[in-house]
Amino acid sequence: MEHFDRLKSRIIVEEHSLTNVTTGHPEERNVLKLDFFKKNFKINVLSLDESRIVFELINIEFSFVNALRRVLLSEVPTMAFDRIVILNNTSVLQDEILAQRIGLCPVKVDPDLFTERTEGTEPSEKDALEFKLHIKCEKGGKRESDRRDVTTADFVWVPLGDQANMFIEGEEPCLVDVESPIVLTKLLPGQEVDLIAQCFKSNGGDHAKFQPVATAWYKPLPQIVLKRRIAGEAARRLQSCFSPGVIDIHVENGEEVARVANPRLDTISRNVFKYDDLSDAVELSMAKDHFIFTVESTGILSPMDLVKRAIRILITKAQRMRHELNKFEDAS
Amino acid sequence: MEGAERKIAKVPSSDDSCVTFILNDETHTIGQPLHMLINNQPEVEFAGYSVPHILEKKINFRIQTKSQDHLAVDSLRQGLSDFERFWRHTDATFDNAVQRFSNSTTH
Repeated sequence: MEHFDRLKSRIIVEEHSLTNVTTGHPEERNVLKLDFFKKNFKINVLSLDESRIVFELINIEFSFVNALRRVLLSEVPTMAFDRIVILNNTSVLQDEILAQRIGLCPVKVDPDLFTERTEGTEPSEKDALEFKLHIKCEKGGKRESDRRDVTTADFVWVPLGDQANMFIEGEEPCLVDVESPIVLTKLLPGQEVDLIAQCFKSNGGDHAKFQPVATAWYKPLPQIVLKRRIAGEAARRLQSCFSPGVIDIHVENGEEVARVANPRLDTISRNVFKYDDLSDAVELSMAKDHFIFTVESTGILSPMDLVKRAIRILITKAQRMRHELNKFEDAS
Repeated sequence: MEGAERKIAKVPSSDDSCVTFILNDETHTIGQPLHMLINNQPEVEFAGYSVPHILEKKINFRIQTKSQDHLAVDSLRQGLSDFERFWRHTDATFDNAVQRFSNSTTH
């Protein structure tokens, strides 16, 4: 069980309000001081696999954590289908609907290999990726097996210029499989889809299809303290107010008693205030400087890579602005 | 006008210790942490930002310092430098954390 001794580092969550958001205490601003930050900032990775990372950040100000989230969502660039030339489409989906579906499919290639395209120029090997999709459902009968799904696995990469040499075998650009290839449309016997699709580089701020995360979010570390003994039926009710695993029941002198097991799993839902008899029994709070951050990748970049790229973008942002500031001073 | 293309422009003022900067192509992403950092500087009387119109991607960043000796532009520069150092430290800390995690889970 975790206890925060210092009141100033917790926001108290009440039924209709949040209190203690700022105390005016000078120590509160410690997390904004570089020396304090360098000595006390910690990151602990809680879980990590190919598609998701969960880590906690301790002794950091929320606006920095939020900046990281905002950059992950709208400024980390990827490649996505942006121009589709449809040569033939006799499937049940209209051209534009099919095109929109294709646009949303994540394209698994390192975006750093490409530059953003300038309006009006012809797509080249430096700023575009081309795929061909040509599927015809052969004439057949009315059986289920005569139909054909057009999926992301049916796309064939067409190297432009020197692109064939850019990728090693087995790591060519392809579309991401979400457990299995994504179905784009379904064809009946005799129907056909024939198109050329080009990817360009942009970011989530331009169009959501370029977003590399599915999604990224953070929450402040919750804390739950039981102010009195809660037993019997009330204990079960208390348990149901929180996410599974937060409150557990143990048996004491033949009675079921509630205790806080894992407050980290809580979503700060405040459900406990539904019950008048339990409202006074619990003190809910959340930390001001301790956050649990989750990043889920769409499959284009690894979650670690995403965080690193986002941090790099933030550093570059500040660098560029300082550089501009110096130029601007010289001019004025 | 050339000012429209630049990353940073300035609302004309006769006093260099109270300045409104226009940061083009920026949002709350940098505005919020930057204003928290600059407000913390001892020479700064006031630091704040606003988005003049939600359809235009820019922020107005105002800095007022406590005396004529401290220029607002110096506070902005210091704030940006601190911002960069915060993130460089976060980068290194993140690398260490991932390393520790992989070490602890490999058997």
